[in-house]
Amino acid sequence: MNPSSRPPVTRRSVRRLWLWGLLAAPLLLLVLLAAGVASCFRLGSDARTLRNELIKSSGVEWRQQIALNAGRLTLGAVRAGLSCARLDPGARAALQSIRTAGVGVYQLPSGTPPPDRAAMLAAADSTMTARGWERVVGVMDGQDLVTVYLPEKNVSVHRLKCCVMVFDGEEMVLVSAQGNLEPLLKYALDQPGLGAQARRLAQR
Amino acid sequence: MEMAMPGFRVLEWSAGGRAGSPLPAVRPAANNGAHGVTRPAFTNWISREPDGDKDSAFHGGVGTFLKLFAWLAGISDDGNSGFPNKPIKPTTDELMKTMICYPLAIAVLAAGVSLNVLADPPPGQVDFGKFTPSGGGGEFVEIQIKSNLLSLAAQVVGKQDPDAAKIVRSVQLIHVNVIGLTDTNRADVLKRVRQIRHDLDAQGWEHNVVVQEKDGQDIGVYTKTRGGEALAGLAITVIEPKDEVVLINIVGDIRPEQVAALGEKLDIKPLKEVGAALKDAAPKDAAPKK
Repeated sequence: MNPSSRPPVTRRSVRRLWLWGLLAAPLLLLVLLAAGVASCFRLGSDARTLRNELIKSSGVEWRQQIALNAGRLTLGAVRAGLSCARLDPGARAALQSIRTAGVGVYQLPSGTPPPDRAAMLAAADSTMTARGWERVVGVMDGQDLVTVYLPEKNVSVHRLKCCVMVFDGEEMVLVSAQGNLEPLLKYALDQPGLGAQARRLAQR
Repeated sequence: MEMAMPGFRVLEWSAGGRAGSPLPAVRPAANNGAHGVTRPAFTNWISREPDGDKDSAFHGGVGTFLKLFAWLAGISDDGNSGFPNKPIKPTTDELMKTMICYPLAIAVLAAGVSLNVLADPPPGQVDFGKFTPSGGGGEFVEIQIKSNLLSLAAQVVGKQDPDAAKIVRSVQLIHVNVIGLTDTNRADVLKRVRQIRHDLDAQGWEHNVVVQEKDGQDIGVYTKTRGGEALAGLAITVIEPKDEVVLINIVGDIRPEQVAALGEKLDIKPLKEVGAALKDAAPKDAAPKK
């Protein structure tokens, strides 16, 4: 057997690998792009789980109006894009604070009997608790149901996550966000007269 | 040439080993400094040659497991890993230390975590029990602000008012329950609130304020003191038989003078009044004012 016949085989396989790589790279980019675009219309995992549990426990069918999600990449691009634009300082502070955000709006079809909000609240509680969240606020009044969840641990000004649900008897709005509150707080605390306003509110 | 990886102890082969011991001695190098040869102890075990070794603790299943674990962790014993390729065998002391200490440490950690979970709640905390909203559309509010969120609030407040931040930091928990009364839940909720009041009395809480209005409104303020200077907890129960029941529990190391001082500073009348009331309530074992 002639050993000199082997090297060309290796060279060919290397070349073939390169070819495959060149073919696969644009495909991979396309797939990633598609996944990125799809993720813009999909809530984050915690909000999604909360929504699924709320819908399941309500026992009625809901119509999705909209579901939008902006991740770090999207918001980073928006921040970078608007960095030169002239913006209201409050809006800029808000933009700098938010890292990820998602919102979903769901509607009950007309004529649907009102769902059992107590059952919805209980189901949402058990699901979120299992995922390491705790309910900070829960309000039921008339047709309204409002819940606010925060992570049980690692809550800080620099890294705050929250999940809010508001249901007014017809529409359910789910908002999840993560951000660094510092720029927003700095802006709020720099506002003249904020202390006086807070004092007036407290005195009431 | 052995590669240097800081963070691990240097082990060197010692020729011979101890007399009578099947395991060769392992001794620390004389000087490794910050650039010593690194090798986690368990990789020594996995590189041992099973031949002729009577100690079978690390053979078979355990040895395979450790090999697999080391492989998964990216630690290999081949020449490319930077570890010496010689089999190194630990002493019996080392083996005992590792075999006993690691599980013991894990057990202690696990026990600590369990104890932490099962630890008693702070003395000022009241277990109101789980109230569920009535299905009949009654009002229901539950707010539970724990220390993590309070420390966040303290960070926020502290930038403008360090005194207020100190007060916020001294609070561990704020729990508010508002339960609307309907025909379906009225009897049950009222019974439970009376039971809570009874339990507070039985647990040595001071019943400082009782207000009973003509329309049936019934307010009770209970305090739990800590060392006669601070309040460990404050519990307020409000019964409005026609409308709702309100339960409030504030837990922490609440200094009445701090609350009053903040009220004075910010000129907030209700805060001043609360501070004054707490000052009256905190120091002595006063008899209930009725």
